[in-house]
Amino acid sequence: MNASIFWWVFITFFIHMNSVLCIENFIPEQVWENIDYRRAIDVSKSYLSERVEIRAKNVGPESVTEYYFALPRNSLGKVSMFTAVIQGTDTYLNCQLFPNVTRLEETGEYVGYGVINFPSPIQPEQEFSFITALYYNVAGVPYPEYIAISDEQSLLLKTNRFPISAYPTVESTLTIGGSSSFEELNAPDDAYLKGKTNVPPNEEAIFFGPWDDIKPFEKEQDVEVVFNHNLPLNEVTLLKRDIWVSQWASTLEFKEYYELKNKGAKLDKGFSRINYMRDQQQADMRKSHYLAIIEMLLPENPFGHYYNDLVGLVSTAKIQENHYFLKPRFPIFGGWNYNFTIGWTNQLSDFLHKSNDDSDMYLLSVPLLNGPSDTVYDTVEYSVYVPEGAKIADIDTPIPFVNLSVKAEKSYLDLKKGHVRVKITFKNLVNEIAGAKILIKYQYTKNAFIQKPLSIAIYIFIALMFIFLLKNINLNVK
Amino acid sequence: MSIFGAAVSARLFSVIRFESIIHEFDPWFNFRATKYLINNSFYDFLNWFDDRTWYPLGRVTGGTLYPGLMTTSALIWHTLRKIGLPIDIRNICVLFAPAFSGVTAIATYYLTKEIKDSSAGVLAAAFIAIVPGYISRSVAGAYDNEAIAITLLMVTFMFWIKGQKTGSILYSSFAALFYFYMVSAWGGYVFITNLIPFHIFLLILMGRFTSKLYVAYNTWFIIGTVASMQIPFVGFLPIRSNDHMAALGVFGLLQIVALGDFVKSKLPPRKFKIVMIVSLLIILAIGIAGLFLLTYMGLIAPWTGRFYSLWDTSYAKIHIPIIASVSEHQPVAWPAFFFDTHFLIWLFPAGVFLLFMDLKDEHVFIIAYSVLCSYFAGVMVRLMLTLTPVICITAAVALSKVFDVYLDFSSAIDPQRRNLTSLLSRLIVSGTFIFYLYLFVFHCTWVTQTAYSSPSVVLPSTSPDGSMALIDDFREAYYWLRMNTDEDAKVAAWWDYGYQIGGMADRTTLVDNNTWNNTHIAIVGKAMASPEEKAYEILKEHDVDYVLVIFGGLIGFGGDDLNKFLWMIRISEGIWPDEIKERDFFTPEGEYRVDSRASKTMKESIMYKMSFKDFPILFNGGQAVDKVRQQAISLEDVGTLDYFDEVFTSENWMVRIYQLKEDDPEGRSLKEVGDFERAKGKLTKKRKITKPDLTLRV
Repeated sequence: MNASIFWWVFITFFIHMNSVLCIENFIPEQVWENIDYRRAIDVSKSYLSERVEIRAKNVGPESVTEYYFALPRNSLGKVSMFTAVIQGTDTYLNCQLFPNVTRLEETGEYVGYGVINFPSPIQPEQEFSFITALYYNVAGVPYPEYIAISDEQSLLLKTNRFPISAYPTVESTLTIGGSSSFEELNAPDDAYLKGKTNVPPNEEAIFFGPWDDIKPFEKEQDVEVVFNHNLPLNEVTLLKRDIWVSQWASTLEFKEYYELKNKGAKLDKGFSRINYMRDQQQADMRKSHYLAIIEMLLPENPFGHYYNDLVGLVSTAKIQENHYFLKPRFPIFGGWNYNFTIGWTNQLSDFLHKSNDDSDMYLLSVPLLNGPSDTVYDTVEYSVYVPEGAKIADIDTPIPFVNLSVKAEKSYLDLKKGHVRVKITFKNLVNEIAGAKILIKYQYTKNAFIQKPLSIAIYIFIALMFIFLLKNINLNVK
Repeated sequence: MSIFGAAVSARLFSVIRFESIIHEFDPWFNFRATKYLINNSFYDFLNWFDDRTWYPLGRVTGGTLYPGLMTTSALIWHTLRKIGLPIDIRNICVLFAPAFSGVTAIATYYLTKEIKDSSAGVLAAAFIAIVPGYISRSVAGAYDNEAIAITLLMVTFMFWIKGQKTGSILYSSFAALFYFYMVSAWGGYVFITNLIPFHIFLLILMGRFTSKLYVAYNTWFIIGTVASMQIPFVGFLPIRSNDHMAALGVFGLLQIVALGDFVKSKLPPRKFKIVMIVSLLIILAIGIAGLFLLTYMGLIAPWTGRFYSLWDTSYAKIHIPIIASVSEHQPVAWPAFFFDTHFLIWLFPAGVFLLFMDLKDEHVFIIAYSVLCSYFAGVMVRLMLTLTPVICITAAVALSKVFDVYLDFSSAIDPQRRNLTSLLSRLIVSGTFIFYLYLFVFHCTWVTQTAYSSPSVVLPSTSPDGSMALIDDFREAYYWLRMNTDEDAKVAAWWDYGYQIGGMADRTTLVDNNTWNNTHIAIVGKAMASPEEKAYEILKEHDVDYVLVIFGGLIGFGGDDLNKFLWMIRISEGIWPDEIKERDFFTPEGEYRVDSRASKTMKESIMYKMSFKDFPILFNGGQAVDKVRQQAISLEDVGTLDYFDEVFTSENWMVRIYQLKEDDPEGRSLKEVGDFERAKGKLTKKRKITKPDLTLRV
């Protein structure tokens, strides 16, 4: 009974994620063999980035165009970006996440897939090399969980030791890099499995393998690595990004509401101001595990900045060209939250393109994110408000979204239907893809452009006439 | 129109210098209530039971507030939304007072026009628009009942004067409607309730009874009283409380006088005299006996404490420390009169004198108003506010009289009656007064800018490079509470900060600025004044999670908790005279000290420990000077805290938040745990004393 409920929850989760019904015991056709599988994890950010170099051989009887790249359980539903490129070139391969999963017999764990499509079919016995890059909204957990203000923060990362693949693997390695110190926890006695540090050429990494002949889905004890990471783990649990297009003022206004959290190690005792002042004094410019300054990278030539939160204006912010430095009301330590709103304005001409042929068509291109570096976003509600009376023709997003809606919303002096709001919801974003552009094509006629001020003027005229008439009413009884 | 503009713009200093923020303490509650109103229906609002204050009692908020202010701003909010202006409710609340002060200026114009003429009206409107005494309560952000109440006061009086002059039912009904509005907005409505009957009473005594008065007063009284009883907080007070008895009495008297008038017109004078004397005696006897009997039986409420302190300024100090502890309830210092009204204050008696010369019915009203208010303003700072309009009116009357005479240059222009001395005197006098007007405008601008535009939540200061910086410790700490504590965490702090914690930190408080339960406040005071162990016990009993204290010693902020500490002690001493004794907190010489000579009780109180924790360390472990009290604190003075954990201290140490520790899992008392840890600490490490040279941003 319990199990069936679990299935149901699991399946609905996947329907929700991909809006496609998934098969739960899917096993890809055994047409590939991984000759070489080199996995490298970078832990220098507050999210994991993974790079897998694969050399695979078609061992089937026919030519194939698809490769199923297996994803371990802990990263299912947390993938932020999944790309693949042909080794040695700049040619990106067409790839997407696949709804079907495999349930492993021994452990009961799930394995998901990303599908990589090759530009041309690979003939039997032919080899093919490509690189997969993945970003996950996953980071190490603080280890230990509680530290003092002046302590350095360490994180613990747990991941599978052998490569997870639906195909047999001839040779494979695993490298974890991106920190000054690594230490394996609960290391196995077997030197074959154990991690090695200080391996040239890359000394700031821990190296595993090489391992030979691994069967599909073969599993070993998980790798547990503790590494130094004395930086805050920024997590934006919710970002509401509103972008207002004003064609009368010829400006593009941005307004962003952040719910920010530091996932790092918590303070062992309460926050002591005196210790904090000491640490600041000593640290000077040293990085630390708390977030004292948030640096926003805005589009070029912003103006009209503001920074406030739920209790009013925050006066501690500095602007340097297109960098906007925010000092939160209090330093954000591990487990602490901070909500705030910022806004700025840009010239519209930098973002809006008027099409040449049809004079009423406009193409708007806005960056996906403008937030702090080294940050993950759980949910992003992205809203673009185009002027009242505009018609949306086309929307293009660089990454898959969860939800999209086009509705009207009333704002200042919207006397008719209101601004047209395009709302797109994303999940699990990392700031690596901040520069990607969202494109919106809309039609905005001259008529609609003129109609707006005209209707406001008419309403004011009616109101004034009304007052005039009221004044002329004689209330005298006599 | 331009006066309206001046009135509004003078009050925007605070927005320009700081930001669009709600000021002080009470406005934060009003703001929170307004937000509740716009998110819920009006009936929900009237039935609002707020369980986030006065924990664990809660507060029947809907029935204990004056809803006028919130309903008005909610109405404005809804209207603006309808016409395509979805303005944030915060901005409406912040700009509420300036907008309404513009309306006040208009109402004052019409009122003064009734008293003298339109030229006096323009002057009065100009005065009220910029007089500091009124600006002090109506700058942008001062979202308080007074903001709307003075407007309503003026409008009510305007309609009343018109009503009693013409005997028009229409105007008196308007007066009654605005009276009702006033009742819904401010407790000071009692002033109108007494002033209008007083006016009638005086007129009757002066033998000026007319049927116009009869019509006007009856209309106003009946409609006004019945309407005012619709406000939940007021309820049946108008027929039970002694504050309202005068109105009722005059109502009765007016009936008798009207009857007497009627009888007089039918009877010969001699018989009428006898009838009158006999009936007066009977009525007097019945009236006094009835009053005594009803008060005795408890049917009518006893006089409230605040009202007593109106008559006897030392009453509150002796009997109700909580009333005396509010600075608003202190008597006015003399310079304040000049500061708040400038040269109007000496035009004021002159104006009253001029009114005496004329003494029409409406002049009697203004004279009665000025006499009553002058007395009240002398008793309570707060009531200075009601005095200010009448000062403006009478001063305008006096000044316009002066100008009527001396600005009339017609004789000087006329070649036949040219007279050099008269021309000269005219020039000198009018020149002087114009110069005074100029000074007045200058003074008002200066006062408004420097004294009355500070939000008090944010303090201005200068950064090292000379630019303006803001000390924003209150919001820093409140925001920390809001972001990083459990949503239903209970915060114990002195009542002054209750509304702010409720409004900004959105956390449950034990006591707040609605000081309805003295005992509950005394509990917090007692906890603050007690030694750790006892305080912990008291606070645990009330489910407190965090204790918040304000400490100004580092940057010299005078309004901190240690300076308010004596009131906490006094209030709790009033309830537990055996446990808390004010005497124990003074040095043997009777001084209030916080340095090494402070008394033992003082040093053991958690207020002392919480304020000064770590403070001496900041100054290299040596002598730390408390900048408010100018006393040196050393490391040995500050005892250890075993029952509380410091969880947050703001940038300038102004707000310090402590958390109550959990019970020890091994069943030891927290003091034992602390002692054990200290002993262990001494053994394991030789105390490493680092002496970083800390620079402070002040």
